[in-house]
Amino acid sequence: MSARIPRLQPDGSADIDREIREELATHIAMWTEHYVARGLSRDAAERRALARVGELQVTLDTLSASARHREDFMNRREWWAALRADVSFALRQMIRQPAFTLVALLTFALGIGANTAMFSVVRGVLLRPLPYREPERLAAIWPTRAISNAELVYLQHNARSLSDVAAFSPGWGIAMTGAGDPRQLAAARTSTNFFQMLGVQPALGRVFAPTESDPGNWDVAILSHGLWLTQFGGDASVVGRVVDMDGQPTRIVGVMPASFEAIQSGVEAWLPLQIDPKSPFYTGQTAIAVGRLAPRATLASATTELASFVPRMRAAFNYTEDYGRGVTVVGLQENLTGGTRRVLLVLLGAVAALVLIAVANVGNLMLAHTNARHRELAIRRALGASRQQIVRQLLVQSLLIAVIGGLLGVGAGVLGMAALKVMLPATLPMLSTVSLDVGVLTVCAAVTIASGLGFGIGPAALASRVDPDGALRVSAADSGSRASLSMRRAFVVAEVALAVVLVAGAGLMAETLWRLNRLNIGFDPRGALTFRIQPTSGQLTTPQQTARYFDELAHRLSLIPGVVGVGAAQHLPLSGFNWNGSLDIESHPIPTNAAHPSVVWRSVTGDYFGTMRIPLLRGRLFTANDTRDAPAVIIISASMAAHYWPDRNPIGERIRVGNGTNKNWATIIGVVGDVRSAAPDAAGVEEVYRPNAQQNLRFMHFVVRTAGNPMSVVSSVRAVVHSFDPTVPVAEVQSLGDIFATSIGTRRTVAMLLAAFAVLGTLLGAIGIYGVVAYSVGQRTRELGIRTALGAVERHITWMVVRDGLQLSMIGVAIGISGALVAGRALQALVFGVHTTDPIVLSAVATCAMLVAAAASYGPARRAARVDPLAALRGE
Amino acid sequence: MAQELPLLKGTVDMLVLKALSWGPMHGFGISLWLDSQSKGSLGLDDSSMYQVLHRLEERKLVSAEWRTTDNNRRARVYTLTRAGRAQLDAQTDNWLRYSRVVTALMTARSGTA
Repeated sequence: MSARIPRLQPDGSADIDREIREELATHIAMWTEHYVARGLSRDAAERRALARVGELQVTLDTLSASARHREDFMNRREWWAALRADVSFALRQMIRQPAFTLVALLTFALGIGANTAMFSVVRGVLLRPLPYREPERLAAIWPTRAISNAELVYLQHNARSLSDVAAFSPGWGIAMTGAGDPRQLAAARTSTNFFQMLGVQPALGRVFAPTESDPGNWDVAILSHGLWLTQFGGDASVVGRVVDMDGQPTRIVGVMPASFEAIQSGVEAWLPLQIDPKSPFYTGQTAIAVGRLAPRATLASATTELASFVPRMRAAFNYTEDYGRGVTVVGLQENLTGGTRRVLLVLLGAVAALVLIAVANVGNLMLAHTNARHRELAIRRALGASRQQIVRQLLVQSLLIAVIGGLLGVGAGVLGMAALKVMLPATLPMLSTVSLDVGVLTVCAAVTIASGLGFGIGPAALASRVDPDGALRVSAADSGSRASLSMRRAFVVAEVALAVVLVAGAGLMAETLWRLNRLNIGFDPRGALTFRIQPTSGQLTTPQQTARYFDELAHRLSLIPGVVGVGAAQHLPLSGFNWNGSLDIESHPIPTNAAHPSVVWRSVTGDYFGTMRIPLLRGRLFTANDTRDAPAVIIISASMAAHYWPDRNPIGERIRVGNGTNKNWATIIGVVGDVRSAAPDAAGVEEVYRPNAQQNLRFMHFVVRTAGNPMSVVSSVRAVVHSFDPTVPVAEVQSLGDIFATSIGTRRTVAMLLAAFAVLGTLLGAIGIYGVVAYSVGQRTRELGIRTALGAVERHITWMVVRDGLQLSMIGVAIGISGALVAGRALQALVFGVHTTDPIVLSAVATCAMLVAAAASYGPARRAARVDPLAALRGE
Repeated sequence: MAQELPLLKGTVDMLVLKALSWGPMHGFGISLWLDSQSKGSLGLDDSSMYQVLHRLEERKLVSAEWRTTDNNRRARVYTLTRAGRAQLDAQTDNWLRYSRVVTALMTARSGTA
């Protein structure tokens, strides 16, 4: 008789001691007998036998220790061997069920990838501290308005709560010549202390010296890393080189590192602010003020101090009565990210919903998977597999799927990150420096493993309760546990609800885009090319020469074949730049020091109104006779006419618009249609137009309307511009449609991402419905067979099954619609022309969801209807 | 009893494997075989022998099971595994080559080749 020695658990040391004692006792007894047989007395024999094993207690202890070491070692080896077996078994199972494996892996990859990418962006843009010295001490001063050089100098001298005050003036287009092709640079002007205040170092050369904002010293520039590489070939000797910027010989003093970005993204060169107290622009407000809080100062104390300066600055710089309204100091990061916070949080919420759907789907699949294997597990239990072995097997399977899915998710995250960088508006601060975040990845990996374990434990707990006898006696289809089915139904309801919320969000954004695209914005953005022209040549010395240059250029451009109209303005509507001026009306004098209303003013040339298709409502447009020497004329927008002359004809009235009329009274000669120049959804912007011949601005954005594709005339346009002066760059070439698209870019991005998430969520939800319905059909095969045998019509059975799927999704849709009503509030600021609780959109969403549910249930329903009654009743 | 020989490291493992090559044995049988073959000249106490058995078992060179002897005693019986037999063959081969070389050197008569 023999028995396999059971492997002892680590806590079986008592058993080991007993075994050693027993083995040694046998050993001594056998030797004693051996010696007795050799003729020794029993006493002597026993003594010699004992002497062989040495000091008995020491030997016992020594052998116990060595036996324990053996057991530990063998247990560990067995554990690893079993794990290897489990893993290879799990892998074989995965390969044998490619559909299940594929869906589960894709679901994981999708959930983790989308989440990692989106959260990396949110973290990089919203949560990561700005990459400057002590970023939490940086403040945006009076962020709702721009400040003038005069105010900057005043604050630098007087503010005690700010150890440093700097200014940043964004959006300077600078023509650079003398380094490769003439090029229009996206530049910014900063106060000379800007870089030191942030605490950043240049990669090459130096930052600005304190005197470089003074007249005569300001022709210096710092290059961005990108410009240095593309235009100067990354040549380190670039520092000290002189290039022409807007016609001025300008010395390059430094190059910033590639990672540097501040306030405005995509800046190619930084130039000093030009601070000249004698200039009329000294008190003109053009720059964003930023500062560093002094030690012990707070945002509140800085705000208080700033407010106390207002009366003195108003008096010193002759500002109007309303100067100083809304004075405040806020954290720089909060100020920079405030506008994008909502968009990113909406997208993050959508991703979270998608991830929850994915997680519910994986849970659903795992449960279905375990149920399908119920009978197999029962057989293995009956054949002697312990409950622990089965649980471990199931856990290994779910973990394996989670880990592989997680790895795929990292890959998907990298791709998603790249896609997001392309899709999100480039103006998002710090977007270019965002990368896949290691912390985020770690969290996502942890979540994956946790969910893998979670969905392993649930089914495992159910499966380990399998009673081998019971499970084997009934048919496989009937053995699925009721608890598991209701859990799966709950998962499906949750999936449908979340998908409905996503689809509702996408629906609202789609409706918004549809409305924005159909909106009458006052001009026709289709079929026109735009570009910026800023002549810097020495030939155009007088303002009159520049104005004539633009007129002649417009004329010559209109002769290009395929061009049907040419006009220009200093900035085009929706380009993000509207110049405002304070309004005076001759017939309604405004008391001194009272607040002046503000209107947008545009200086136009060529056939601006005809090319933009802005209709003339009253009076006349500008003609060639409205020259510098002719009386000053002005055209106003319809809403301005309605506002100031509600029941009168404004033609012939005289107005004055800040520096838009050079302080001269101009006579209203016409009224044109309103243009939504600030944003497509901002109606009623009051605007005036002046002929550039009387305004003499030195740069223009041209609009060229074409019969065909606007981009097809680009090379002809360049040829015409260069025939005037080969050093003038044709910059910012884009279609007017692109400008419009950019103006609704954030909404379009949100709409596209939400639509993508909604499609994925719906797909996953459909898989969930399909899975559950198919499963319950399998369970009811016998019942369906009986029904068919009793004469149920195929159609009725199909409907019965589809109804099951519909009932399930109806609950999900109901929950989802209520969820959408709440979640819609987050979209409030993004939707346009549609309310977030719009019943038409929501009922369309509900109908869609029910249709998808019906489609997902239809496959299993057809199979149910074709059940062969005889086969079903025979059992398996 | 002859004078005890100091044991070379690793040789006990080999000797125990050799003992088991005759067939499954309990600890007594192994020690008896070693004693009788060496005429008691090996300095191997029984405690060390059991430790060696534990180590061999850990390495899967021997397997063990409890059996009841003819005298109705429970004894742990050790059997050489397939891996154990391969190990024994390899070690025997090594030992014979090694000892032949060392013997030849130690009994050399001439200082030059």
